[in-house]
Amino acid sequence: MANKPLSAIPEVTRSERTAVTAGSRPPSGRKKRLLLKGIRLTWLYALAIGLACITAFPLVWLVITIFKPTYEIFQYPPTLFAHVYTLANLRYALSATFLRPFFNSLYVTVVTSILQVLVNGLAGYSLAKHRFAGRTIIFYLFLSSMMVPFQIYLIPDFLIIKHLSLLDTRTALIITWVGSAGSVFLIRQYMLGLPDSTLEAARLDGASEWRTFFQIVVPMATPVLGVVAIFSFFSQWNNLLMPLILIHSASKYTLPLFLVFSPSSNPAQNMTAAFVTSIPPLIVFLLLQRYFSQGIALTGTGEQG
Amino acid sequence: MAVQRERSTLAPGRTGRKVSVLPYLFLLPMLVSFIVFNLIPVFWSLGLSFTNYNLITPAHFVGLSNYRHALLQSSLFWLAVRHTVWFVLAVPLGVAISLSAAFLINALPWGQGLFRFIYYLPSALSSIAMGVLWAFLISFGSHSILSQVMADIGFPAGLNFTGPNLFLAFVLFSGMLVGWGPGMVIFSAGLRGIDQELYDAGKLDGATGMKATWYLTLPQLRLTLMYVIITGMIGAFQVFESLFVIGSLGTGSQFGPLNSGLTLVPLIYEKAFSYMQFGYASAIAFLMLAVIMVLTIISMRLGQGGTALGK
Repeated sequence: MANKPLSAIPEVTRSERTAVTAGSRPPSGRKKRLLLKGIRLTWLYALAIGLACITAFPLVWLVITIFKPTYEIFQYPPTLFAHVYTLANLRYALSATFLRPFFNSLYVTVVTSILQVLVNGLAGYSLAKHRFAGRTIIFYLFLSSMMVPFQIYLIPDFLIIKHLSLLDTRTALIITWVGSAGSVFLIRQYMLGLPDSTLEAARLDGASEWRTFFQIVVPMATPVLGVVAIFSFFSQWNNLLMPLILIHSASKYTLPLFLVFSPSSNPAQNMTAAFVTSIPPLIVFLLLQRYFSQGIALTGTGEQG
Repeated sequence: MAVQRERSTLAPGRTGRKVSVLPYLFLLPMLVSFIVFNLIPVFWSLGLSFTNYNLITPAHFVGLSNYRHALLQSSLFWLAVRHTVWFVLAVPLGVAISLSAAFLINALPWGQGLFRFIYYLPSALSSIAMGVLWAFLISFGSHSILSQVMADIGFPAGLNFTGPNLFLAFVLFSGMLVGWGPGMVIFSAGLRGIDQELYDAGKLDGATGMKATWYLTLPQLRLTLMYVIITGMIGAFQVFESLFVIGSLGTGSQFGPLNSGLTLVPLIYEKAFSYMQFGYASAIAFLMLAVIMVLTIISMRLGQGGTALGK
């Protein structure tokens, strides 16, 4: 031990277990370590792939189903690849029956997302970078309202929309979903960190408050505004409870209502509708993945309501 | 002049401020929306909970009788509570999956991004579309595709997931099976945030492998863990969508056969919009609010944002 080179010592401490079994023959010890590492990695990847199979299952199932003829989707055991490929189901996705709720959803969701960013962004900016009477009270009002589950608002919101004569309109879905205390809070927290000097410089250059907001503040706050846009897109796209109580006519159905209340008698077509319904959120997810992880880290959960 | 006034509203200590309307103007749209759809409704709802309002006849003050009815006389209310509690109790189990998956991903030398992407995938799809898929897999009762799969892997043949016995369990487990992606993302962000020096120091004391996980990593993640569990529980209290979609499409009755999938929010929805018992439904909503408020205050104490993003 005494005449061993010093460099051998850290190797022993690095992995006691393998060092003990390897004894005094370093080459075979290294081999064994490699082998153990290999076994460990194989296990890890087997586990990781197993989990991936579970989470990939819904999307894979939907994708392989939409190209199958109706009789084949009931086949057991299910076939991974269709015996006969058909585009009949996709034709359903392009029919007016499906496209109407699809565009209703798209309209309501896109308008909501834009308004959410604008309305809550302005409010967050005001609370973060301006001083005015009542600022603290308003902030704490917003903060405390975040404790209230939105089901509390369900009945009065319905009554208010009824009084405004907006029942059964897409506008009702938008205006009940725009103001979000949670979004304001998030935006405010983020904007508190923006440097005052930059805003000051813009003002000294004679930029109006509106220009400062749109040309200086918005670009600097893109990450948090992106998060708000994404989550409002997801929550409105999947919004079921509000349309359920506010919308009656089939012509104004959004996709969630359509999927539940107007299913086709052909399950293959319903699968196709479900798949196409998943495409817009999937695209948003793929394009803005970066904001997603930020957003989840900021807010805790991916979805609400 | 205008510039002067606007500048004076800047936050950092400025003297000689003049009152500006701009910050109020910025706040106005949000404030209006907040007052109309949040502030007024809370008090309106509270007021309704003391009445017998039914949309048709004028409301009469009935005191605490709605609350008394829910808590003391209604077996349906307690049934809904019991069902809801199942969802709440299942949360730690789902969080355990999230955490394990985060550890797993962290241990992979390559492909972390890919696996994280696949694990999050079900949460990126439309949750309603997922419901349509689940409903398809259990439709046709004991002859459903899922029943046959279960029989093939050793469970009794002919399990009926659309029946009153298994419907709730199915909705619970199907959600848990694919719903742990967001939690995993939070945990892996937390894991990456832990200072490597901690492990280097731990190694000197012999903390490697499982020991390091137990004594070094978990304590570091304690707050994140609590936060994820509590926000998860708040979400579990509000479960509605999956029960409604899978119930309507898979079993043919909203929330499953014989109220087998009736939880609190479905109960509120049914009482209010099927039976027009707006007062009673509001009372149930406020009982739920009380519990959720406690949980929310705890989660806010644990830091990070709130729970109500998006709405």
